[in-house]
Amino acid sequence: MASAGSGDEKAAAAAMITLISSDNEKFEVTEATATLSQTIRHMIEDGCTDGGVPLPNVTSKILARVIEYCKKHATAAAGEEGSSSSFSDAAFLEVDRAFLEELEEFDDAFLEVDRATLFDLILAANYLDIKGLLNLTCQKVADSVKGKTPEQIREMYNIVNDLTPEEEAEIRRETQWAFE
Amino acid sequence: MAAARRIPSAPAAAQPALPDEILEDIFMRLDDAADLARASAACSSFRRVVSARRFRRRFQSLHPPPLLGVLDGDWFGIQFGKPRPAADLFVPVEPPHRSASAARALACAGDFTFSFLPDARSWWPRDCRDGRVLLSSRVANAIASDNLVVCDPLHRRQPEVGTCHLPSWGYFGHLRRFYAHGCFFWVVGSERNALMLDTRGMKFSIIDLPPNNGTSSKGTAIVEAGEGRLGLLTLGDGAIDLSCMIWRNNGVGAEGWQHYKMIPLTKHCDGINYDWYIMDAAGRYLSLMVLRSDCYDIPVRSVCFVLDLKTMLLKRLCALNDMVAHSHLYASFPPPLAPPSL
Repeated sequence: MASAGSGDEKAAAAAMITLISSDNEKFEVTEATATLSQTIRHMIEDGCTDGGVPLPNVTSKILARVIEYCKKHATAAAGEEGSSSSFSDAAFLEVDRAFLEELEEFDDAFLEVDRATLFDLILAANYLDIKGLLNLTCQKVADSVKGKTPEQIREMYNIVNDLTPEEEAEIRRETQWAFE
Repeated sequence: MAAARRIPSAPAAAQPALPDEILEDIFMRLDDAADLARASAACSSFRRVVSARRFRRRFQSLHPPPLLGVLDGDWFGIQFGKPRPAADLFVPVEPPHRSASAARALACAGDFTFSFLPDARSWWPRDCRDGRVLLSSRVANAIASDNLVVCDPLHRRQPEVGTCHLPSWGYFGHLRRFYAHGCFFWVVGSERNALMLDTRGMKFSIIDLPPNNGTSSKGTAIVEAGEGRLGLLTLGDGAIDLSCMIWRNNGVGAEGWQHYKMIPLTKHCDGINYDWYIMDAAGRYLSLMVLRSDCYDIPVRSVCFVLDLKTMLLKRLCALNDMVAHSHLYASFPPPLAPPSL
């Protein structure tokens, strides 16, 4: 793992990308980290990253979190590539497994955010087209909704009930079975 | 979770709303239809997304419909050519099964007396799939010909083409069909072979079934056994045997049947003997009917059980009022999540 990490750093030193948040903060990241975003990957391929990549839809607070996620997962992707070449090495696989567990723990801790941040992360993952982050955050919302009543869902996500009493009665009538 | 923390400074209007396609993505991850139904009652945008026909079709293509009951397809009634009473032919799953309330909702919303069909009492269910029921009629003065009709009992729909006439059911009319990996199967020839119809090329072929080691078989069923395998279930004396075959290229180059598992069935309990019969197979489910060996009451009281091939658990589904060995498992999304199937 250690050798893969330092190799990664050497290769990446040549290619750094500057990301600019909506509030004009600059973030310098490696190309390996940035290209977890398909949106940025396409910009790099098109050669339009000179002078930085402006991301008018993402605040510095959210961009910092997104970069934190991408850094961790870019290392994981590099680790996976390395593991395929020394597949028979049992010790290496052991390290790999430990790393995957660590990654899972990272994801769990990463999701410990308030509702507004979670929604902002979803929007950023969608805009930047980061599949892993979008899956992770959407799954978090879906899991939190399971087994909940509409009232609990509204409270949890600060949702205003904008259904008319007639509409609400109609839904209740149609889906009474889901409330029993 | 963390989001439940109250942040008094954040008014509702300041919260970023998620666009419909992301809400869709989130709701697609709910695999229980009840969760989806409750979420749709939270606000108008959730409702709009869940109600959209496009979303419902997507949801249905990803999640298999839950098993909601049994459709009575009593073969004896058809054989004797007698019109059946105008009875509800749908038996919903009963509590404590988790789908019991959804099943009741389907029973209430649908018309399982088929009164929306012309001459309602002369139709008998022969098969059902994806919310559609195939029925046949046997008219007294036309013994050799069957009329067929397909309908959607939940939406009371019947296609414009109406009925279709077949010269004769012949041999096939008596055989139960199974469906797995895009193919239909009929077990023939003393359970040594199965006739297979590949629906992609509409080609018939014969596949060999494993020898049953001389034990007497009380019925067979062909199912999808998961992980791309074809499963053969054989009901023996007090147990079901599951054999599996890796299913590649529609059976070409298959490596043969391997015995996989034996699932024991309760034969004696509290001094009472029980008999088991295979009823139907649909998706990953096998339905079995059980009744007391010493019961001579008419109508016979029996109970329907279902074996889930994913979990290998046997669960009670519902009580049946008669010996309806030709019943069909009915899997469907409950209303209003099920769009019209015709």
